[in-house]
Amino acid sequence: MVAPPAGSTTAAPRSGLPWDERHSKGLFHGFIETLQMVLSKPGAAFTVMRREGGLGEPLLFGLIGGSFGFIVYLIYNLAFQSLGMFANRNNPLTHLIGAGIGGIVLIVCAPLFVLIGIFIGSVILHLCLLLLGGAKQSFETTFRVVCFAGGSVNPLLVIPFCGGLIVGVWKIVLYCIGLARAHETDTGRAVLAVFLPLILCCGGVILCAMLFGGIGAMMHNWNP
Amino acid sequence: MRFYYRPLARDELNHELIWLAVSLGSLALAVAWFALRLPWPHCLFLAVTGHPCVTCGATRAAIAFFHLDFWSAWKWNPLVFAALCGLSIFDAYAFAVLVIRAPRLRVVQFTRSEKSFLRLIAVILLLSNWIYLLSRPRGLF
Repeated sequence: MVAPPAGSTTAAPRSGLPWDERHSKGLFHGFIETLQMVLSKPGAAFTVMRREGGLGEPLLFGLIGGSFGFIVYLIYNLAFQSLGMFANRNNPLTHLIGAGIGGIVLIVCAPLFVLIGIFIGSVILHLCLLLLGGAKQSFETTFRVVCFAGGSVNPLLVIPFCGGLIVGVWKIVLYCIGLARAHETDTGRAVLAVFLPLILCCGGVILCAMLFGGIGAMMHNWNP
Repeated sequence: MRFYYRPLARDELNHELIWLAVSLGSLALAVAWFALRLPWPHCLFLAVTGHPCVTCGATRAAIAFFHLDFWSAWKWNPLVFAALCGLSIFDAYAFAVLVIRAPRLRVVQFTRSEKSFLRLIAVILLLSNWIYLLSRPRGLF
């Protein structure tokens, strides 16, 4: 039996992101240019992003941006806890020792957490796309979207206090745009694929209910 | 839908190596997480509504599964138990083909009706799992 060739998808050639030219531009400039492009012009960025070519290059981008953001976030947490903010009032000594050791281990293992998170996040998003019939390209395309979106937005965790919220919302927006452009599927399916894990577990239903409730309340109180 | 056994192509992703490494890495991180007594994940849906979501009990099902207490794992969350069984079978297969350099199993050429059928099965499984979890006594989770 003759097997079909691997990765047999017919797609128009794409010029690629600045990260793909980092050998000529330099690692730092390639990273910053890609980050700026993904954050400021996500539609254009994910339209030119290559859909295949190996996992290594996008993974490196996602790992650099993700680890940087995650480590800064953990350092903030440790610093704020040592100042007594967000600390456990019931048992401060245990909390301080536990948070210190746990925090240091988390910082050391941060790249590993980011690495595993990228793979698991990609596979969940791709399964949701498959479930909704929106996966027009291979798993690698979803993986690339997750890497470039996460690697670009996670450094914003340097913003104190509200960095996590900004990153959370912006990442969802980037995933929606990225999946729609890279898979060339309709935006509705991409949005639903991104929200499906949230809807299925951990309060997404409540989140949506509150969102629609809020919109309903605004419309109810809106007197033109 | 067709099943093929073929050697890994030159530019093809080595899915067996990637997912074996990811699953074992995740297991190692999870063990380290609990060994350090870091906080357990909490479900916002359960906290607000008092009812379990589709994935509630997943952590306890996984812990029971890795302690070889399969009946408890099944009772905590049947879908997670089935997923862990599937993952274990895949890991054993991946380890075997990587060690003996055997041809890889690939499933390709899904027809439109097969895709629709698989989607329907996935939705039914998710819903039936959720109904089972909702039927469990309140306060269990």
